[in-house]
Amino acid sequence: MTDDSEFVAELRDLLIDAFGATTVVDLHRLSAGASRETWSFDAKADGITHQLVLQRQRHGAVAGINAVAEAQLLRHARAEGIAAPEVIAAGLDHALLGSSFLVARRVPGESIPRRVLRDPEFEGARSRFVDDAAQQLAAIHRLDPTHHHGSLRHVADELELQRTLHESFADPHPVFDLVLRWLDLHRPVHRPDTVLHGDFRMGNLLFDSNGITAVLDWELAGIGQPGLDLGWLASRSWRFGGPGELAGIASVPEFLAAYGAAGGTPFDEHELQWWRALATLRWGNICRMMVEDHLSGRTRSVELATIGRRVAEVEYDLFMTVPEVRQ
Amino acid sequence: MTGTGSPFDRPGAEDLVTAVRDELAELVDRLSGRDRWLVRIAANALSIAGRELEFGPAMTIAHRDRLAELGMADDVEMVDAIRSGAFDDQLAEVGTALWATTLDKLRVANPNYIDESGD
Repeated sequence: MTDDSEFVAELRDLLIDAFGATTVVDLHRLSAGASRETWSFDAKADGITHQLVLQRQRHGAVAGINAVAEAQLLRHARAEGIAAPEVIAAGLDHALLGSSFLVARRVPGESIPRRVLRDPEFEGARSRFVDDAAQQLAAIHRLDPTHHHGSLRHVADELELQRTLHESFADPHPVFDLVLRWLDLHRPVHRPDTVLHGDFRMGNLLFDSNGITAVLDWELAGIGQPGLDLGWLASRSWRFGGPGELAGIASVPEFLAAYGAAGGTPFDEHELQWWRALATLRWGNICRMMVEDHLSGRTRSVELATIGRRVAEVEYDLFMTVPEVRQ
Repeated sequence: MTGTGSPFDRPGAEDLVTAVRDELAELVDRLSGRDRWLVRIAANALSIAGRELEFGPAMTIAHRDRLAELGMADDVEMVDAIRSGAFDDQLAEVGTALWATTLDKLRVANPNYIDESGD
């Protein structure tokens, strides 16, 4: 992005269908991941200021679903009353904007988990969290998946995916193998596949003092077992130091009750234990992938290096999630 | 690791690492923004390295002894045996040995994690 004015001109072109001619102001980057960037900007048209965000994927970067599939899912979710961002424009393969890009309305709110979990301002949001989050997730899982066949990835067998990933690393991790073995021996019943958010957890939910204002970060969406989303949300890895076993706030049984009441598949704690263990193992594999970026020299970084040592926390959490595998 | 048999002069690696860590920890208070964050992460990395230098040798022996009690020479053998199903009837026995090693690893990587977890 060497020429700002050219970039802004492309952005303005992108908004013509939605708003007509606009002036783009206050363009600044909010965050930059390995493959995705998020930018904030305002577009002014006819005396109205539209507060927007742009998510763009750099050329050559492959991560998650593309913006057109994501836009289709966000619009579907929004039409069904889910707090998904309002999509303004999306597209693919643009020389300046990136290989995949999406403009949506900016939603006010706080996403930083430690603030949501601790600040007095969010006390009301915390007390509503179980019902709020259960309703959002149950509504996502009730979306008709046939609308997205072909555009969303189908997660046929997450356990095999994680086993393959685990076995691709050079360093042996017996605790991972122990838990994989336990998962093999205790597979839960197969539920009807649903739309999956793919990364539904603290950090990807926006809150104001009254509760959830938006469900963000849909790029890992797919179609598969609803236990994947439930286990991920309930993984001990996402408590951010909060006292509750689920998202640092709630107990697993109270969340499952609210999820069932909101129309989600009735899960019991025992069935969810399997998905929580798999989710925690998945987080461990993600940590190990980040370390590979450091070790291989692709991205030398002390931060990535120390994430490798968080695998000890993941092992601890695996043992706490599956106490059956020790005496 | 200085001491009998080591050709290196004092201070040893453990002291060097700890000394740098302590200086970085002081530096953190005088920094802000991204620099503060980076130096805090660097200090934490050296804390881990310092604890590994201090406790690592004994923990490595303890881990090897636990594997030996299960008839395993090292982690690779352990992993192969678990994958083959050879321990399916004794998963909890294997897990008990590995749990002790996980706790040791956590004492090096992040000793506060157990308390913070509220378990």
